[in-house]
Amino acid sequence: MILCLVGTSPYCFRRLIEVVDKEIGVNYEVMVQKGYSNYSFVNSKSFDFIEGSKLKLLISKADLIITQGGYGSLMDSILENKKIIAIPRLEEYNEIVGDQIELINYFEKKEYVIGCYNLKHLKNMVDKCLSNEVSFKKFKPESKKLISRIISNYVKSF
Amino acid sequence: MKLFKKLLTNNIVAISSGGGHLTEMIDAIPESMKSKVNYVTFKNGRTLESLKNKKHYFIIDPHVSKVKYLLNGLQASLLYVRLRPLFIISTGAGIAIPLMLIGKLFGSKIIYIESGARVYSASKTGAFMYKYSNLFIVQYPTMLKRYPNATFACLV
Repeated sequence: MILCLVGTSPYCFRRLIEVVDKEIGVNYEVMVQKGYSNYSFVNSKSFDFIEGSKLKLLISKADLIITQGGYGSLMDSILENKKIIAIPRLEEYNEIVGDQIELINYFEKKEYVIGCYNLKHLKNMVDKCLSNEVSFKKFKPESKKLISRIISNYVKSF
Repeated sequence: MKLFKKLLTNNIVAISSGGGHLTEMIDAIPESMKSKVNYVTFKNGRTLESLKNKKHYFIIDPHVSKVKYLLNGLQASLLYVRLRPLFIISTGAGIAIPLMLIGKLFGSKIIYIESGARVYSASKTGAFMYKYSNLFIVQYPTMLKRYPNATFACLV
């Protein structure tokens, strides 16, 4: 199953889910978390939102994740060591305030995801990922220092 | 101001907008503090779901509207007087600025965590809050160039 995620942003990301439904949904079993985006699906199953724990279960079952470039959707998928294609929401299409390109670029360098910056290439990328022509690296934390520990120590110092 | 400092309580307020900001903030709160934290965000189906078992308050999301910032500031003031937190934690965005500034003015300690979505460039709220924060945390080593006095650490 291919899982497509657009997160909880109030902005519409129809540009992505329409292509996913029309071009990917015809050939593969596709499930789309469509959030606040309006679109009537023809080939794919969809739902708006789901509880965090259930989402993680869905992600773990997926063969491939096609996701927006939001931190939450990306990290949830990366932590499950999935094959991931990430598509940035762009300000010019009114999909977000501030493009999602920077984080996708960074995770691309780390080889956690491949970035898709032109939706014309999406179908091709999906085929390549599913036939294992692209390899992905396992997630490695940037540092052993945890934010929660730093906050806890800071608060205790008063 | 000094007098007010004595009135501050051990309350911890964690304030952010919804989506990734809220998820990151919840993950940043130490296990031992989880029951004490008062979460503040805007209200929608998603944030209600995330916070249903946690102490929380809702305030207006100003987004880019000046009028809404004024209303947000008013709500933040009332909330501040009610909770008088010694610590305010935030991952942004704009929704948190008025409360953090009020807190700074009255001696609360401000802990700001730059969003995990920021690898090279500063967020608007982060860039603004850098000079007012007592503890400023970034999630990538690349961000130390932009914020030399920040602490670098990870959520997971």
